[in-house]
Amino acid sequence: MSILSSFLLIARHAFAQTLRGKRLLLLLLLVGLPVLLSVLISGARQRSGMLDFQMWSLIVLLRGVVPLAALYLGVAILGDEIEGRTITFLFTRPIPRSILYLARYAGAAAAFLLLLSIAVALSGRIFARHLPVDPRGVALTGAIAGAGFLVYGAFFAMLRLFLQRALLVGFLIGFILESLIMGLPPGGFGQISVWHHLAVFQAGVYPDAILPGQEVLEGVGADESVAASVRSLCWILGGSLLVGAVRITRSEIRIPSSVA
Amino acid sequence: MIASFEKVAKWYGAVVGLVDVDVEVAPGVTGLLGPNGAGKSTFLKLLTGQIVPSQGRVRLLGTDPFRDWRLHRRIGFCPEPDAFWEQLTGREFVRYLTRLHGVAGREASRRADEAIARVDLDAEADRPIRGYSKGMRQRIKLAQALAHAPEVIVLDEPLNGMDPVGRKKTTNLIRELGAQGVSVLVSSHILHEVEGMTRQVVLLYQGRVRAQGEIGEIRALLDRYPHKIRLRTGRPRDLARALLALERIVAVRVEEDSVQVETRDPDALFDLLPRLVLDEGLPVESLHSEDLSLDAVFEYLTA
Repeated sequence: MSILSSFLLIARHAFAQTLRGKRLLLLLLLVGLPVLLSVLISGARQRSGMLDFQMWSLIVLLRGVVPLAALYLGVAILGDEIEGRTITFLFTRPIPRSILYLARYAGAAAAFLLLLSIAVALSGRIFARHLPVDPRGVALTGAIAGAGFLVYGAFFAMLRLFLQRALLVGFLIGFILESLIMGLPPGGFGQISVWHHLAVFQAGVYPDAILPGQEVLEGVGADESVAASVRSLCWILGGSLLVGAVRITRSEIRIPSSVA
Repeated sequence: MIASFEKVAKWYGAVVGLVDVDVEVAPGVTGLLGPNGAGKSTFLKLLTGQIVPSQGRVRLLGTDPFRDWRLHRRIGFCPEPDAFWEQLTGREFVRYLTRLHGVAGREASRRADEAIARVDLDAEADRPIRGYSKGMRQRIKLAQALAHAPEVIVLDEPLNGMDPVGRKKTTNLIRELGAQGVSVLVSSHILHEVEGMTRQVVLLYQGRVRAQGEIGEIRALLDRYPHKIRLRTGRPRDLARALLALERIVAVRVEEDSVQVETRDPDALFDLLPRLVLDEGLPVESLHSEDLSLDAVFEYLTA
């Protein structure tokens, strides 16, 4: 059996674990929240449909649900197996540890992206019932949110391989630090914020959306291109996965009750 | 030789796991003996490449178990922690892990079923693991270590939590595996458990290897040290006086309704006891060796 088969087996297992029990319930609450808000926003009919939808996606999806879910799942990608000590079974199989790590990331990410795409599609339909919303815009918003989840998730998963308290540190970075960076005057600082790149990505795809979101996108420079932000997101994603894969391959991972 | 430790040390921060371990493990069944906290699990984690030594070199089947992931095809490992993917059935659990060992679909299922039968868990295999008793959980862990037919099987306290029948069957299974040419390294903190499986042992205590070799040699080594035996009697002073007259008695302590004897030759004491009872008329209601636990044995070895 090839490495690819092992990768798929582990990814499938991680996919199933993500869509099961309390974890599924929590994820449903997370992705259910934007759906609920879409009902409230679209019912209010205060703005044009697409602008409302863009604001909803910027603030609720990209700033709320996506980093929260990425933090929760990213930290758990290996963290759950380490704390549950089931990692022992995986570490004693003939599989490179990097593959194990990437496969679990892929499985968990696929599971969340499935839920996210359903939530975005549902929200799009809810908006469309009351307001004129472009279906292509809905699809692109889903894609940007998905990309955001992949980047944040890879970063938080990598963080867990270095820190026991990755959940707390991840929260501080993903919410407090990123908000501070976005609050700074336009300059080079935004380059280190994932949200900044996601916002630029979205604003670039839908220039109209930047108008009502101006206060939110204060740190975004006018000359920044979508391509540059996509490149930066790719760098953060690839870098996080690479660093995580190297870390798990070369260093010992402390499993609880190692001392015996 | 299947495994070697060369000047291996392992620290967890300030906590010492193993110190200066120099050991070679021969093919066949080997018992890794030591009281709780002796470093047995650390030894086995190093051997199976889950952790890296802080110092020294570990080799299993001639290669570094931490760096060489392919090596795990040839190894079966039954960990000590009671950790599972609880929602899986026993059969799903063993199949999944067997497939991850590189065994393809149907063959993995066949081998998983065989291993489950070997640990006598066929009837329960389709139930979720969360409903298993401790003994069943131990057996399903054992099954996943056997299913891919490894050359070397490493078992960390496999008899913990098993009932007497389960213990007997598992002991027999380990002996069978040894007879079939599989090398098994099995840890335990109970001397007689290991004696039932093998004559070859490594003794660990406080992170160091204290002795290695045939269990007879270990026993001889242990015999250099006094064994404590408690005799319950209605006449402790008379019994103590009679015992002090015997050779190789190191100390006698009189208590309210018993006598605690320390002897370098417990077998001789056991032979003499019936004579004391019959000839001297001294009542002995029961005797209890306080050295059943390895902790006491290792206290002697390190005194």
